[in-house]
Amino acid sequence: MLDLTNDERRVVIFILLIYLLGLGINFACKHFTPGERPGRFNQSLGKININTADKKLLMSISGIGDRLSQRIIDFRELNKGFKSPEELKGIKGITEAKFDKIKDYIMAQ
Amino acid sequence: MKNVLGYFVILFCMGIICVYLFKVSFPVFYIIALILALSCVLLINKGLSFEVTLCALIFTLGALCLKNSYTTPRSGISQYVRYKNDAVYAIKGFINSRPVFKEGSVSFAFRAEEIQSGDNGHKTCGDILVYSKAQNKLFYGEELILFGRLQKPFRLFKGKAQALMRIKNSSALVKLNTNKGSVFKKLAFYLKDSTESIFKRCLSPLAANINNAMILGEKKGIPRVVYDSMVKSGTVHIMVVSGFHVGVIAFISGISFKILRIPRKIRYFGVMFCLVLYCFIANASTPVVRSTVMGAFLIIGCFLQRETSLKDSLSLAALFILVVNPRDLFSVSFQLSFASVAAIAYLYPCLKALSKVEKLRIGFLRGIANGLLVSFSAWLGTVGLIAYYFKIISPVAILANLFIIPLASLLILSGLSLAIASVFLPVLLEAFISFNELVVFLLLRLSSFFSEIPFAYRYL
Repeated sequence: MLDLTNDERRVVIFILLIYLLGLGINFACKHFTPGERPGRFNQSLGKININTADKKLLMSISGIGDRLSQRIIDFRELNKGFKSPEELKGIKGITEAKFDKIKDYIMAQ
Repeated sequence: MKNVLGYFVILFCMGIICVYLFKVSFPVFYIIALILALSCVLLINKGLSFEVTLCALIFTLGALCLKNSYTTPRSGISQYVRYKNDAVYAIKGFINSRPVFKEGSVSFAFRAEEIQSGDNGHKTCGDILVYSKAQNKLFYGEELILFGRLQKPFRLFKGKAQALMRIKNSSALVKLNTNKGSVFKKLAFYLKDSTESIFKRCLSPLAANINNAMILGEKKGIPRVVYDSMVKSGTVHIMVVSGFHVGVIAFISGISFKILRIPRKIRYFGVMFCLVLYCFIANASTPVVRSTVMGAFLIIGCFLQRETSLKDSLSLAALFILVVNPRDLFSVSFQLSFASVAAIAYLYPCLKALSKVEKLRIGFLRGIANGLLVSFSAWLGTVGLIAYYFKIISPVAILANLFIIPLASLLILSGLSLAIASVFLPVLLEAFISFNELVVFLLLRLSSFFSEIPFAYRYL
């Protein structure tokens, strides 16, 4: 049917065995290797500093609009900055639910 | 000569389809494959029993290959995609594709390496498709930290990205000012960007977009009207980078190395390097990978001074693509690309023998008849798939391709020459620009003409 010579058969079997072995190792690696725990990178990376951010930057956070960003800036100027993000809860319009939604995007430094 | 690799491809595909249609357990199939492999070793001197076992083994390997591709690693990025708990993650990794800029936003594939949520940090792997409105100066290989929520991508099955992330503010994308990409890919993307800017600078917007599509595989800029007329006339395939492009690249690089008096054997490796580089420039889509593997196979054949076969190189290309990503079997581009070339490889010789074209005495007529037969074979090979996927049948394609393909060939040659001339021979640039614009004009007019012929196409 396939008319393979003995040498060709050996080569084909060798390649297929290697491939089969490779598939098995790959599957085992995917299945049994747990995620390692590396050193953590700077936690504040990627967060907006509410003490320095301008109005446009504050508005880029989902849930903060034109008026709310202005209130945050007013509050910041009145109280000489935020000591912690939790102080945002004192601003009109930032409820507990809204704070939970935005807290991962902000920091106070 | 028997096309043994062709049988292997069919069996491998059957295994893939089996897993696609039925639920199969990887360990069970793996044990079956091991038994079959051992049986093959034991039966190596037997005739039919060895061949039957070998066929069963290849079928099982196809099934295992798809099953393995379905299995995501435990530390894979897709494990972090949540539906109810939309946690915010910080993800460290690098840009793994050429960033695409469009209307103030940028999209790219991001290779995740580390992920952090709250106090927990883990190593991870896999690609994330990122849409960002924050940064416009990004490069392939740049190391970043992204900050945001992960979503399920729209087409999880077809796409390679396992998660999707949207970035709206600039502080959610932090550059680490290090680079992790491969030098080879960087070179390919640099050449692509340079060629794209040459087309943009020298040609009219329409001609530049047509050249971008036909030479670099970037089809975004093609106007809808032009694309529709090409679909109707059955000539849209010229917009796909494929075998002809690879042939032209091999020809140009081969001639250049010959002029530089590089020894014959080293020349083969040089041509192969150029083909692989071009494959990356043209986004490494299925048709261009197929053509590159086929081209490499033919070059290796020449290098070893062995007889080369179109059928074997086609089968090898199919095996190569399916082993790397078995899900490609269900993609339209894979099916159309292989169906058209397989039809030319298998159907054309039969049609040629049946029609007795070789008996024509006038060489010019014989050439036209052969061209029509090639076009008809490719059309026959793809008509069913096109009707199924695109709901259109274009009988005019057989005639249209006879005129369009030589023009497309001229356009590819002139486009590549234009890019090379702009660097080495700026004196000739004007001539190449005028010629290129003329060919684009003729190509579009002809395509439009064929699409307007009565009964040229029919929507199903």
